[in-house]
Amino acid sequence: MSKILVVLLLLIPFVGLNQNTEKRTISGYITDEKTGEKLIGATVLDTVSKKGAATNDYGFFSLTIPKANAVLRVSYFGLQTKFIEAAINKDEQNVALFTVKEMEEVLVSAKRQVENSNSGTIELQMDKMDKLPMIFGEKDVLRVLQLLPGIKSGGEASSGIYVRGGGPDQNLILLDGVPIYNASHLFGFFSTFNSDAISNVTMIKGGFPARYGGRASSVLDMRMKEGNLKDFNVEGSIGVIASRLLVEGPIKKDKTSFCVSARRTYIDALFRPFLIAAEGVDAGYFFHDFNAKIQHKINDKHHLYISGYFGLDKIFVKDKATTYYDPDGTAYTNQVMSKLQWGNSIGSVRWNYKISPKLFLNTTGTFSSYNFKIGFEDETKIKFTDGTKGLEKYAFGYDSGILDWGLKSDFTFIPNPDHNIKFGISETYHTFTPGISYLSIEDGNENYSQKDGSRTQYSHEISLYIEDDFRISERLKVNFGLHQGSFLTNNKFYSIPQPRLSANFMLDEKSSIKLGVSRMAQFLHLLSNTGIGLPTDLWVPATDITKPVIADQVSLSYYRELPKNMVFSVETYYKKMNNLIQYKEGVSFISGSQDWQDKVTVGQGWAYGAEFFVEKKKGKFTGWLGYTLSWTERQFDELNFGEKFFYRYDRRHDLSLVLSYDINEKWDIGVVFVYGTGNAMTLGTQVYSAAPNDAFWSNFYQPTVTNFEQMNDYRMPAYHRMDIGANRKKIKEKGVSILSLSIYNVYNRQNPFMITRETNDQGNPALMQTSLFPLIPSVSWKFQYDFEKMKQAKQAKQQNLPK
Amino acid sequence: MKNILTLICLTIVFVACQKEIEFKGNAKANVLVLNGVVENDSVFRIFLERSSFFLSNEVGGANEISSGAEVKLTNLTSGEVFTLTQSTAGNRYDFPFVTTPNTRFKIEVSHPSYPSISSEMTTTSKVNLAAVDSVTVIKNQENRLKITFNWNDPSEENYYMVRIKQDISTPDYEYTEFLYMESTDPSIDNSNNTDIDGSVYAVNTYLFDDKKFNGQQKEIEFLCYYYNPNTDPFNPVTENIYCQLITMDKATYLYYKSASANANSDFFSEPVKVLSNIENGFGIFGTLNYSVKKL
Repeated sequence: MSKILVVLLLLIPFVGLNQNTEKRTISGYITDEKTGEKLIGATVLDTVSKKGAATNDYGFFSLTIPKANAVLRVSYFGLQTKFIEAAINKDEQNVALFTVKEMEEVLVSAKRQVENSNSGTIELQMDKMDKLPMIFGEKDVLRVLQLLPGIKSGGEASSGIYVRGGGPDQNLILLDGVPIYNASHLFGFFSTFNSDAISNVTMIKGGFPARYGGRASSVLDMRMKEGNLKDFNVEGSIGVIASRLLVEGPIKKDKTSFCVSARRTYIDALFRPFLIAAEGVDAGYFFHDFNAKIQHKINDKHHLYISGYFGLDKIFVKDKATTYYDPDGTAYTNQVMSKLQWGNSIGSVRWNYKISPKLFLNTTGTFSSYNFKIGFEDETKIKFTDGTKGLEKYAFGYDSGILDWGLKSDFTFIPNPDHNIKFGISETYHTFTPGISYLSIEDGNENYSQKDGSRTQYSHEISLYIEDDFRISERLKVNFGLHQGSFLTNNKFYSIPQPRLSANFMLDEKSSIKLGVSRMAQFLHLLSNTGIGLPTDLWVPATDITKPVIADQVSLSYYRELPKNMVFSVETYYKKMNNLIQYKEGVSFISGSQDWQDKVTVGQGWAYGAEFFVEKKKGKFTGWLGYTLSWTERQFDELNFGEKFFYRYDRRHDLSLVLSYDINEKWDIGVVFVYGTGNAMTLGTQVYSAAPNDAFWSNFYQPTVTNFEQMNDYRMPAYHRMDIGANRKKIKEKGVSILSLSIYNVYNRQNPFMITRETNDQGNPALMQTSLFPLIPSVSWKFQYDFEKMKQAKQAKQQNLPK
Repeated sequence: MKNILTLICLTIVFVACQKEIEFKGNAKANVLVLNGVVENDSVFRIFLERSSFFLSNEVGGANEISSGAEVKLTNLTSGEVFTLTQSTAGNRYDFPFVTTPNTRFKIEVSHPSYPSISSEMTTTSKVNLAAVDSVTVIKNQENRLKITFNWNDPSEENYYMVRIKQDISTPDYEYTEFLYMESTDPSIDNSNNTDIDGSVYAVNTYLFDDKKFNGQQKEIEFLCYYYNPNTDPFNPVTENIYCQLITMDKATYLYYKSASANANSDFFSEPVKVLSNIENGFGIFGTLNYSVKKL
C-alpha cells in the first residue's frame, strides 16, 4: 500500500508541469480589509475557466488558468464576495474582503463540507462562540468541540477531549503550529486557550492529511490572531472568576502589527484576605495566561511572525507560623509551606516566503515546554536562650515536564488548479523529565540532600511528508500522501511510514460520500490514572518496552445539504490502536518508582461507531444536533487477566443539542443540552475474607478482598445537563458592549464525578455519588472599543457634523 | 457580611455534594469461598465461608460456614478420599492427616444454598536455606541489621516469600514481630512500595519469583529496621530472630501478590483483580513450605 503511494506521489509533479503551456499563474494573499488578517480557506474562482483555488494556512493562493484576461470571484465565510479583474499582465493579486453587515452564519464551518475531500474535519468560527452559554462566562474552545459528534468530554469538570476512543494524550493540539502538552487550567475545568486571542480552529478526527503527524487520534490546529494592521482594537471581558483583555494594532500601518492578550483568575485575590484574617493561613489558587504575536511584512514575498504563549496554574498554602517553647526557654517557630504549580510556555518564529507564484514556503522555529512542580517546606527557626539562632528545615520537591525545540519547513506547490501539493520536513528535539524528586534536610549542623527519580531522556523526532489534494474529475477529489515519522531515543530508532488517503465522491450537487484511511503514529505516551487532566500526568517517550502508539483508522461518511440551509452527515469509523500504555494493577502516579517503565503495561484498543450530525447553518434560528453511537475497548495482558474490557470513556450514546436564536439586533439566546452514557468504572460487588496468613496480612491490615468480574463493567449514572444563556449587545459611540448572562446546569442535575462505597448516616454500607457542579448562574461583560468609529465621531465633532 | 459572601461563593463553586445512589448493576449471587493454603508437615486445613454483596451488612462471622456443607478432599496421588460435614472450629476444617510434598489433591465443596465449588493443586517441595548471615550497619544515623539469605534455587519455576521473625520474651510478656526491611535486589519488585519521592519504603514481607536467577545459587540482602530489646541491663530479655524462606506454588504466589496489591491500592490506583483458583467460587487452594534458620 505504502509503495504504491510513494510511486503515485513521485508522479505528481510531472502531472502538474506538463500542463503549464499557454497558461498563467495568478497568486497572492487574501486578507480581511478591516484588520489586515490573512484569511485561511478563502476561495478564488476564475469565472471564465471555472477553475478555482483556496488559500492555505497562511492566506496564500495560487491559481493557474488559461493565458487570458480573467475575472476572479473571491469569497470567504462572513465577508463580502469580491470580483477582481485580473489583466493578463497582472499575476500578483492581493485581495482584501469587506465585512458583511449582517452575519447570519453559525459556528461550524461555512465552507461546503459536502465538497471537502477530508472527512472528519470541523472548522469553528470563533466570533460565534459568544452565542453559547458558558460556565462563569468563560468561552472555551475545547468545551465547544465537546459538543460535536465523535468528540467527548471526560465528564464533570473536564475540558479534556476524547476523540473516537482515543485518550486525552492522543490529540495533537497546535497553537500557531507549536504543540501544547497540557491543555487545561484548574484541573481540567478550563482549557488553556484564551479564545479572544484565537482566530482559527480546525479539528480533524479522521481522514488526516499527511502534513499532520505525531498523535494517534486527532489534530486540533489553532491559529492566534495576527494583530490588526489597520487600526487599534481593545477588547476584553470581566467575569465572575476571571477577566480578559486583548490589545492589537499596527506598529507601522499595513506593515507591522502586534496582538497581546492576557487572562487571569482572581479567586485568590478575593479569598486570601478572609483566609488570613480568619485562619492565619495564606492560601490561594490562580491561573493566568498571556498570548503575544507580532507580524511584519518584509515585502510581498517575505512575511515574518513571532508569537508566544505563557500559562501558569498555581496553588499555594502557607500555614500560620506557630511558636512553642522548651522548658529551658528555647523558642521554636515553625511554619509549613507548600505549593503546586504547572504551566505551558510556547514560542514560535515563522517565516513565510513566496518563492514563486506556484511555490510557497513556511519555515517555523518552535519552542514548547510543560512543567509541573510540587514543593513542600517545613521550617523551624530556633532562638536559644543565649540569643543564638538555629534553623531546621525539611524540603521536598517533585518536578516533571517536557521541553521541545523544533524546526520545520512546509512547502505548498500548486502546479495547476487540480493539484495542491504539500510537502515538508520537521525536526523536534524532546527533553523528558518524567518525575524527579528532591529532598533536602538541614538541621543546623548537618545538611543532607538527595535527588531521585527517572532519569532525563532526550529524543529526536523527525518527520517527512508529501500530500496532494487532487481533483481527479468534477465528481471525484482525493487527498493522499505519506507521512514518515521517525524517532530516536536511547539508541532506539523507530521509523514508521504512515499512508493517508481520503476521497470525496459527489453523488450529485448536494450529496457526497467520503472515505478516509489513515495510519497515525505517536512517539510519546502520557501516563495518567485519572484521565481528568491532572497536572500529575507524565509525558514519556516511546522506548524499547513502550513502543510508539500506532492507530489505523477507516471511516466512511455520507454528507447531504438539506433545504433551509441545513446539512446532514453520518460518519462511521473503525479504529485499531496498538502499543497503548496504562498503569499496572494497583499502581498510580502516587506510587513512586525508580523508573516509570516499571509501572506500566502495554496493550491495544479498539474504537468503532457512527456519528450523526444535523446542522442549521443560516437564519435567525441556528444550531445543531449531534449524536454518536460508539464502542471503545482496551486489552492489556497484565490487566483484567488479559481479557478485553471497556475503556473508562466508552460511551454508548452521546448527544448534543445546540440552539441559538437572534431575537433582535440587541438580544440573542442560546441553549445547550448534552446527554451521555455514564462512564465505565470498576466496582467490586462481592466481598470475602482473604486467606489467613498472619504474617502476610499484618503488613496490610485489610484481610478482605473485594471482587469484581471485569474491569470497568459498571456504569455511572448518565451525564446530562442543560445550559442557557442570553446576550445583550449594545452598540455605542466608542464600540460594542455585550452583557452575557448564563446558567450552567439549569435543572441542577447532580452528575457523577466519582462513585465510592462508603458508610451512610444509618451506619450501613452504601454507594455514594460525588457531584461537582450544581446550578451555576454567571454574568460577564464584554467590551470592544472601535477606534475607527471613535475617530470618525471625533472628526464629525470637530467639523460640527452630525455623528 | 464578608464572611457570608465568602461562604456562599465557596459553597457554590467548590463544594462537591454527595448523595446515596441505588446500585443498578447485576448483583452477583453469593458464592462459597474456600481458603486453603496448606503447609507441608502440618495438618491439612482449609477455611470455608461465603461471599457477600458489597452493600450488605453481612461481614465476618456471619459469613462463616461451619456446617451444612460437604467438603470432600481426594488425594489424587493415593486415591484416598476424606469427607467432612462439620467444621473443626469456626469455619476451619482440619483433615486427619499431615500434608506431604509432591501430592496432588482435589477439593470439592457442596452446599444446598450455593453452587458447588472445586479446585486442584499439588503440594510442593521445600527449598532449604543454605545459610543466613547478619551484620549491623548504620544508615541515616540509625542502626540497621543487614541480613543475607543464601540458597540454591532449583531449576524449575519457584516462587518465594521472605520474612524475618523476631520473638521476644521477658518474665512478664512474650511477643512476636516481623521485621521491616528493604531490598534493592534486582529480583525484587519494589514498584508497589516506593514513595512518590522515589524512596523505597520498608515492608515485612517480600514476594518474588526466580526468573532472574533460575537454577542458580542465590544470595539476597535485606536491610532491616531493628531495635535491640536488650537496652535495659536490669531487665534482660530473650530474643530470637528467625529467617524464613517460604516457597509456594504459582497460584498461591499470584494470589498473595494480587491480594496485597488489592489491599494496598489508593484512590487513583488501577483496580486489582484478586486471583482465585476456585471454580464457581472464590479463594485460594494452594501450598507453601517453610525453611527457617535462626540467626
